[in-house]
Amino acid sequence: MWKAAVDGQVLHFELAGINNQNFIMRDAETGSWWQQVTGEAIQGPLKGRRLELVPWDEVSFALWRRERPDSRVLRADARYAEHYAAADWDQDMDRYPTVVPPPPGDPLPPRELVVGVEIGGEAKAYPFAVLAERSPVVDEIGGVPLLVVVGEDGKSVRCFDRRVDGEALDFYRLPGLAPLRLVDARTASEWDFAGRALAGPLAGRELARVRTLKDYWFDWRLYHPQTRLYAAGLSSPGD
Amino acid sequence: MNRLYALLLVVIAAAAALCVYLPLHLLRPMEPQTAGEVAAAYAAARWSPLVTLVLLGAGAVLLALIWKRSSWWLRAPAALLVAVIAVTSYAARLNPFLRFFAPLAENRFVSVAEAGLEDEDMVLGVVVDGEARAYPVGLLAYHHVVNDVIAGEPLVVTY
Repeated sequence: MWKAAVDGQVLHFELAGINNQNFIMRDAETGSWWQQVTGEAIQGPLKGRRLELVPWDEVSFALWRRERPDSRVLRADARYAEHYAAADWDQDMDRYPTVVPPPPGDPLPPRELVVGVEIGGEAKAYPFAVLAERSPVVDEIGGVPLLVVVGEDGKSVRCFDRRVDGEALDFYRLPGLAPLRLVDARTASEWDFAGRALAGPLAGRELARVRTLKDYWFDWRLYHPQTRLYAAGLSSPGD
Repeated sequence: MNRLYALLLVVIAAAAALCVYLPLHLLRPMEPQTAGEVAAAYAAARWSPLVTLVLLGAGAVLLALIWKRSSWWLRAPAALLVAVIAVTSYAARLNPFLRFFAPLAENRFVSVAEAGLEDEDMVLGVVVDGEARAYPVGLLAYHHVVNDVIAGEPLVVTY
């Protein structure tokens, strides 16, 4: 999701093609082609320019509705109802081969779902299956201590900078609670999935969100060739 | 001379068809793309409206020359070839990908109660200046691109 403007000029986009299974979009104003996953113009007058990213939340409707009951929702167009994807379509895509052959010794299958994080030029991929099992995950990338947590819906993933007043906190999940509740090891304050402390000495504080991208491993690796892989405490390639 | 004109007409028609077909050929979803192929596809898509129009003009001239000097044996196929070039000139102005994945004609927003989504449906949620909007991933997977404006901020939503 990006701001649809470059140098103050508003751009209107449409689908224009596909490049190694990530799609290309074209702006009507200059005709430039943009790569969807990077927001970078790859051809045309604006080649090399990047759109400014707008942080988004990729979450289940149940979770979004609970947090933002006043939100507006884009309505489906009934004419295309048969084309709209079912909830788990990205896992269904497993049937389709990828076009870029995986390198030998590739640690993950190409269409493994990962949550990608990039900070200060350092990239890391967290396999969704590992996150689901081990959430909340405490880690560090590019010198930034991180918390990667899966919501109680088992589908929504958020990443936070886990520093409060300059100090990195460790987090644990309070078992059996829904909605999700985390507790930090230092003050035992209680935190929710939006990164807000609800109770305890840190009540009212909020963790800063860190941008993530839910992607297929092959696509994440294509655009982040030096990416590391979170392997639950085992050493990962590039370490 | 007629044979030369006819041959030229065939070459021109083939060139026009190639011009329009090239991006489709290079950007096939189940084949890999190199940067050079993407550049070639862009160039073909960028210039084919003009090129096919020029070729149509040339084709029309050739057709006129053939018409004066020959019988229906040559006139008919020549006219057909020019018709083909005319079709490519029209096709060059279309975006075939929009045939496969139609864009949303207009953005209509409803409340969460009216959204008609299941709990487990994924959405892309965004908040701009306190205004919250959700774009169902199921919709984005088909339409691919949604242009929107939230709190005066133009956005492009993709998945």
